[in-house]
Amino acid sequence: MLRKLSKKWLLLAVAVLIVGGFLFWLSNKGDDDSTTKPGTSVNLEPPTKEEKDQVQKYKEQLADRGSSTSNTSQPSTASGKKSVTPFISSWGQNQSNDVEVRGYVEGIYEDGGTCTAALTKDGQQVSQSRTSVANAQNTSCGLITVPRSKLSPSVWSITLSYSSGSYEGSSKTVTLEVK
Amino acid sequence: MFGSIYRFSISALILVLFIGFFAPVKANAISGSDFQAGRIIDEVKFFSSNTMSVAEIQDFMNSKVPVCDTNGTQPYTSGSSQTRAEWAVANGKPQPPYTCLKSYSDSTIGWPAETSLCNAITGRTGNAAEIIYWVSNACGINPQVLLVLLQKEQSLVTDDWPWPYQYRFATGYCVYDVGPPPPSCAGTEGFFGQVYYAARQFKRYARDVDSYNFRAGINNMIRYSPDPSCGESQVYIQNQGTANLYNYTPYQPNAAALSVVSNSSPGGEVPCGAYGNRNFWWYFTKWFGSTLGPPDYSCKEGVNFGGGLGPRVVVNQFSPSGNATFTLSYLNQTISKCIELHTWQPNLQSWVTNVATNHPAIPPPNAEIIAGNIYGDARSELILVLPRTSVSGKIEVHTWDNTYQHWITNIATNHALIPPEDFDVVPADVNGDGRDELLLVLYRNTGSGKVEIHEWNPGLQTWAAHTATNLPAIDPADGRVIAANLYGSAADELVYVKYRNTGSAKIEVHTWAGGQQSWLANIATNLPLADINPDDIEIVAGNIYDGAIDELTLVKYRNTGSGKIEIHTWAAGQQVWLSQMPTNLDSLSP
Repeated sequence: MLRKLSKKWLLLAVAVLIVGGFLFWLSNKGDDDSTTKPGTSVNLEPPTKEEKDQVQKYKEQLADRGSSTSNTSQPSTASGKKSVTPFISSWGQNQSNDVEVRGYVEGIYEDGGTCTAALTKDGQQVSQSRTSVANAQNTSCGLITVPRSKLSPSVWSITLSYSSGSYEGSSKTVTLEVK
Repeated sequence: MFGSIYRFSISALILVLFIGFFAPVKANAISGSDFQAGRIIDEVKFFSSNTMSVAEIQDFMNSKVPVCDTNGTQPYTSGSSQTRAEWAVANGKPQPPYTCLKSYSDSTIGWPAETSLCNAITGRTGNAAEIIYWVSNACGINPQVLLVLLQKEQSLVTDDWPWPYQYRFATGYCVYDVGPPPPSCAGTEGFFGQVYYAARQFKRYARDVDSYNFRAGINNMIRYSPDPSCGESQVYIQNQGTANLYNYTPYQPNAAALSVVSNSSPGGEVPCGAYGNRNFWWYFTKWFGSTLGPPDYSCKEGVNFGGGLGPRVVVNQFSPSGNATFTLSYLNQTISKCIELHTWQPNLQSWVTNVATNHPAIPPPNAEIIAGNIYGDARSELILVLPRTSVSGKIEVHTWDNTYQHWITNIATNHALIPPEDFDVVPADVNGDGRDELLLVLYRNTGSGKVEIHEWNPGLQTWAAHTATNLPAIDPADGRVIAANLYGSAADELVYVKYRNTGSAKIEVHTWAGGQQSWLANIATNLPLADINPDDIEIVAGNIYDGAIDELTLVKYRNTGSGKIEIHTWAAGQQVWLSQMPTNLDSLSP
């Protein structure tokens, strides 16, 4: 009796293992059988459903845009130029204690604009300018260096402004404790 | 009957267990938690142009669009009764025939070589695979990076009915407003122009680092979205490959955008999400494997060279907190035939790790391993310096990640090769910013006739400072320069350790004041020269006791009383020992 009972339990266990193993294989199958070239890790599988969905979504966005491109509806400033908002991507003091400011202007592609980093404190202003460079998807101000000799130790407010024949605007202000 | 079922069951059970044991387990599933904002892709991946042939690029493209819907006969959406062609007519969108990337061809424009950008390109006609290959080779950009860029910007790799607009702005370069192109965008339209200008721009980011916004080796503020109200956060960009991606597309994904990443999808849209760099990382990983350095045990076919073992003890801040420990580096004559790094437990009797790195063994004079907190992450990176032979002809600096299997950066510095005995590369936090700068210390044959210290800027292509010290040029056999924080200030001091020909007949330690024109301290240690052969020892520095200051430590490689490599750590002032410990390793030749 005991022997028969053990055998029944064994059969049940085997059945559970086989079914469980099959389910485990199924759950892992989708991503595991990617075809790769020997010696490389290049995935040569056709696109997954999710990848196709991404394409479809992009196509719908493209259709909605009417195949037009970037924003053309920037508001104009008082001087009649289109308004832009530069962004300060880093600021701080370098090894020589000079102040370094980097930043860019989104949505436009211009060589020859003027980027100006202005440091202000108690009504005093020190500024330094640099000519912009067109980047792949924006306009770059690059590195603007303000000599430490022009600044006193204190907390300074920093703003990056941009001006060209067609565009102008200023960034939000950041602060730096100059040492 | 039951017996045969029983036997079958046993056999089946064994089979199932066997299959279960040996069946491949899903590996390297992609998760958003693996995205590193400061290290999206390593330089060695970004700038390797020889990863694919034209045929391999073509095979890859073919695999991603098995059937091109040239005539737009597929349903516009799943289950739709309207074909794509019908939908296009009804909605005024581009109509068939559609040309998929695998079949697309374009004319290239002849371009002359430009210094540190791209080699010359010949004007001719080619298909997309050829153009990607030609540009990749001319500019030194991984073709896989270009393929992923085409997908990230315009879904061109997987699109089976692409529109002309997608080729016109294939890499998203200079997507200008409707109307005539701005002067700066001239020539960038069209497949070749887009691929070429994107690759060239990636090289410009590396060459003209101060003309662009995001720089490797510093903290950068990076937005989560073009919408300014979505905010930004600070990211320490670890390498030029990652800086390239941010300079091209200046956004990082927020936590929500990463939370929807799965192994089968880069993830959909979320509030305040930006997807360019997330999708770049996902597609690269999915299609070509890890974005991080050499992904495997690449020195497995390494060979040992004639010559010494080249063991050196390096003080290594192995954990981000607590005391520094010691790592023994073996450059040559290793069992693995790779450079090996063995890190001791604090008791120096057992190991935290024993690692065969990804770099083949190398003759000791041709390399040196140093440790420095390059990334401000409160731990040391281990760095391989190649001072004598390098492919680039420059002093090269290669930085491992904490597995020692991947390179974070591979940099050919701006300095030509010079005799390795004439200089050291010394990591030191000389400006107190919490990160070590790399210093080139020249001992002799200097223009000034003094020991000179040249501080590299991050990226090791330009200099932050040049200092001719107050110390006349020396024979490097007599002394070396190391860095240590001996006084508890924010910055490290530079220390001249004199091993021979000292006035005091003892090992001497001379600590410079900032600027290296005068001395903070000149100390004759408790170690008489008569008791020691300088060839047997080395003096190193590190925060051995997790205190406010670093300790100086004497490493005795051979002729030790215990017959083992010994580590003796001085108390401040170098007159008494805090500890004197034999290690678990027999003494060796330095």
